[in-house]
Amino acid sequence: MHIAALPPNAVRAIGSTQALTDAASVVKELIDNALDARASAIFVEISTNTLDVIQVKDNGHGIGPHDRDMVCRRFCTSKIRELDDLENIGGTSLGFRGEALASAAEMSGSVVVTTRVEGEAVAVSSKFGRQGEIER
Amino acid sequence: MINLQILIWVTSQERASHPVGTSIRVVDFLKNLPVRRQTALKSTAATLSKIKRTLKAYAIARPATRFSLKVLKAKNDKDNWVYAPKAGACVSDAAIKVVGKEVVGQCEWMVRSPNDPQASACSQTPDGSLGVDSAERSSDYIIQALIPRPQCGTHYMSRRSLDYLSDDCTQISQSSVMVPIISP
Repeated sequence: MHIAALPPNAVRAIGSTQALTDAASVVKELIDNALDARASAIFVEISTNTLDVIQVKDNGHGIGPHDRDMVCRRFCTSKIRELDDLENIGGTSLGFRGEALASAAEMSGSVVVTTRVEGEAVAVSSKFGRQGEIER
Repeated sequence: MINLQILIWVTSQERASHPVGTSIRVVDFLKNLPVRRQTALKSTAATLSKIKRTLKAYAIARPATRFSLKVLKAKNDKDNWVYAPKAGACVSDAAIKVVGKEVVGQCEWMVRSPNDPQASACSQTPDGSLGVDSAERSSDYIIQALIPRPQCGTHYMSRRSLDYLSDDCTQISQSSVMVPIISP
C-alpha cells in the first residue's frame, strides 16, 4: 500500500500524545518500521552522546518513489487506510499511527532518509527538516 | 489553546549509494528542546543500555533477523552488540545469545493456546518455529514461553536473565528478573 493520510476519525481515535521520549524510543520506532518492511538485517548506529546521530539501516523492501515525500508527514501511513483496518492489523504490522518519523523530524535538526527499492539502479537520499519552506 | 502546525518539507533530494532497503538517520535529536537535551546528555549510559536491552528483546521476538548495535567513535566496544543468526535460527538460539547457554539449558518450552489450555512441550523445527500441531495452529493466538524447569537451581537465575513472551513475533513483555514459583 502507498502512504496516504488517515481520515480524521482514525486520527482522533488512534492518535497518541506520547511523543518520542529519548533516543531509545526513536530506535524502537525505527526498528518497528524496519520489521514492517520485512527486513532480515537491521543495523543500529548511535553516537556516544546518543543525540548527534541515531541511525537505523535495514534490508527491507525500501520506500517507493511515490511515498518518499510523505515519509515524515504526521498521520500519514502505509500500514492502514482507515480506522476499521486496525481490526485486521494484528500480526501484520507493528506501526500504524503515522507519528514516529513526523515526531523525529520535529524534535531533531534533520532526518535523512536514504532508500532504494527493488529495480532501482541507485538509491535516493532525502533530507527532512522542521521548516515550513523548502530550501533550494 | 494554540494549535501549531509544523510542516515537514523535503529540503533536498539526491542520489546515493545504498543497497535495497532503507536507512533513517536522525541528526541532532532534541536540538530544539534544550532542557530535555541536557537531561538526556546526563544519562547516556542508561540510554545505551536501554537500547541494548531493546535489541535483545527484538532478537528473541524475531530470532531469524540479524540485529546489530554499534556506538560510533566509542572508546571501546562494550556497548556494542551483535546477533548474527545462521539460516533457520530459532528462539532458543537467540535466547542462548541473550541469557547464555547455561540458563537456556535449565529452561523448557511451554506452549499455550485457547484450544489447548494445557501446557505442551514441543521441539524446534528447522524453520525456527516451534513444532505445533494443527489443532493449535488454528487458534487465534499461540503463546510460547521459555520457562525454567521446576527442578532447576536458583543460582542459574541471575538479574541478567530476562523474561520474554513472544506473541506473533512482537515483543510484548520484559521483566528484569525471572521469578517463577519453584517448589522444592
